[in-house]
Amino acid sequence: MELFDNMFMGFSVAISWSSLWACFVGVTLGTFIGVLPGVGALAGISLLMPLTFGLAPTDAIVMLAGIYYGSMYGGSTAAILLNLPGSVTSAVTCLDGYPMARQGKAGKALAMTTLASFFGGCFSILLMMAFAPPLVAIAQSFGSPEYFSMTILGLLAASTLSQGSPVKGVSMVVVGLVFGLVGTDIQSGVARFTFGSNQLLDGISLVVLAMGMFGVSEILVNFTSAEFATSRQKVDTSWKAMWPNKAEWKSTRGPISRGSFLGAMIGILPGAGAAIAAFVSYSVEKRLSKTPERFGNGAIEGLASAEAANNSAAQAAFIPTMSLGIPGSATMALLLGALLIHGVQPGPLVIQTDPELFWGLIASFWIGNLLLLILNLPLIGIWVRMLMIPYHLLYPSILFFICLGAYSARNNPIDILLVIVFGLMGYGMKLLQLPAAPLLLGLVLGPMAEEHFRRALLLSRGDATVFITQPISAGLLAVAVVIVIMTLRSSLRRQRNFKQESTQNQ
Amino acid sequence: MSTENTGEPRRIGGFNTVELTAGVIVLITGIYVVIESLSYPFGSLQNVGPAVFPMLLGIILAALGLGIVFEGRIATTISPKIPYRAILAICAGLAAFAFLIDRAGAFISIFALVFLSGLAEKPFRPVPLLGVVVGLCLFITVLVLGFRGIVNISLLPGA
Repeated sequence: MELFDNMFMGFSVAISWSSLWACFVGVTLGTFIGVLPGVGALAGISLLMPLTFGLAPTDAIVMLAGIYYGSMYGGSTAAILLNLPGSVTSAVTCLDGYPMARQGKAGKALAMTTLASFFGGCFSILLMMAFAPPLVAIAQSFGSPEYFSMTILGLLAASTLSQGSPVKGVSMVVVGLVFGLVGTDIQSGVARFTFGSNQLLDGISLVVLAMGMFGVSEILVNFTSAEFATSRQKVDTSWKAMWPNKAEWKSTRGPISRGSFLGAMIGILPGAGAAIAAFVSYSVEKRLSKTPERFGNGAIEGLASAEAANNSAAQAAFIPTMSLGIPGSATMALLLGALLIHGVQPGPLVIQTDPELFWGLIASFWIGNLLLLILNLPLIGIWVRMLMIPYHLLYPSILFFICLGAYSARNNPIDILLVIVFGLMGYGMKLLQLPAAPLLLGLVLGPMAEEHFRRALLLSRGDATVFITQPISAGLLAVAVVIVIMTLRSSLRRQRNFKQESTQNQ
Repeated sequence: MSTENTGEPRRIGGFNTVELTAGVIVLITGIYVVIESLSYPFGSLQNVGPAVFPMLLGIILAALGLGIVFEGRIATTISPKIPYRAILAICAGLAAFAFLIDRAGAFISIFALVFLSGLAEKPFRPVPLLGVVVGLCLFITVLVLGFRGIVNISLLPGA
């Protein structure tokens, strides 16, 4: 019954006025940001992160988590009404959501999204309550070699499993790790990669980098792709049109539960994340369906399963982040970075040293999901109207908020100039199709990886084999090697296929 | 982004130019990191100095750069048209804000930011942009006056 005591403690934290307020502000702003066309979840979180610096650590993380799943939800709204996925995650939502909207069932699609998201989220919170404590117990026996190997595995998995070229993904992780080196070396006091600048002695600020790479560069990308859609769709937001009828409840029950389960399983893995979860569960439903031809033409089952899966995966991603201190995605890395800024060292110790924070966060998930459900069903009308804001009014305002956030952290205008530098760099990376998200992961995990690497060698008296003689560490590294081999094989196969094709063409 | 681009990708000696650029940049970054790391103390295997980790990363990065070049032979990446006007306008707006915020206060900075970045789009729309300026100025006034001591931004020049 320890779980109940813990949850009781969690709720006593989360129901305090300050946490409730943080949660409310978080989910509302998150949804707002998610709905805005051309602003993804990552950009949104980086933009809003400075807001939380004045809060207590628990309230700050509650608010950031709220922004995160709020923006996931908001992204689906834009996907359904505009066929414009704000992030990869909601790309699957477009498949059936947009056709539903065109058939005049936008209200129903939005309501189903809210409901499915709620169920998916709840499933993963239950899972986190059940599995985080035992995972923490295992992680507490980990020493530096295990931590180092786990970090390497996490980084490799996260960068190779995501979309695009795995080589580029890994390269960007390494660039991130190098960025993490910038500043004073903790163990020797040597200033590294600072180019003699005092501004860089404290290292590269996570907020500044994220705002440049995800905020500014996203605006520049939007100018590259030229067309900005704004919605002119009329949506019937009456209760009767939105609430699913009996037949729809019955047909979506299965997809929602399967989507929640699959989403949670995939969400725990580093790198796989919500987008893959949504894709997998969507294709599973399509295969199981007796009428697969309806998928892509407004099948409510497809929408429900994708939404349940992506929210379930989004919540499940907190399990490794909070219990092991290893984030599986860039968004989680941002949240982890925010915890570090607040002086909380994420990892297995949090549950002991800061039980209020840990269980308070879980309790706030319940409240946040419930808030989204209560807020969003009546507010759908407002979100729909928000989609009509033209981009030429939106982007100067976003730029202002970027400036405000970067400046207010230290009241130093240099930070805004750094935002420009990272913005241009992020845009250049987009042009060269180098992904920015792994870079962020590397930046956050870099100092930790190096510290464990050096500590492991110190404790083993300079014996470099320690990483493969310790069984857990060896196992983790073995999995990493398997990932590398599999990636290489599929890359070589693509090369061969390409050669065959080009010889056939000649 | 690249989905809207059609046509043949440009190649140099069989290498896709976009991928080649990406690979070479990564390669050079790796080499630079290795060279830079040589200037830090190495320490011993037991007491690893600050040079070792960057050095390892630099070597890996250089190798990955070569990997990108190699892999890029088959890529069909095409570089999109770069919107120089928008990039210039937006960077100018941000830089103006950075330059003005400590000297001239928030109102003037916002004005400069919005109007300079507004040049990014054709046609230039002064009236809606003025609306944005007024809105943001109201917002910052409420923020500064409402959170006195937390948000330390001066609104007017010399304040």
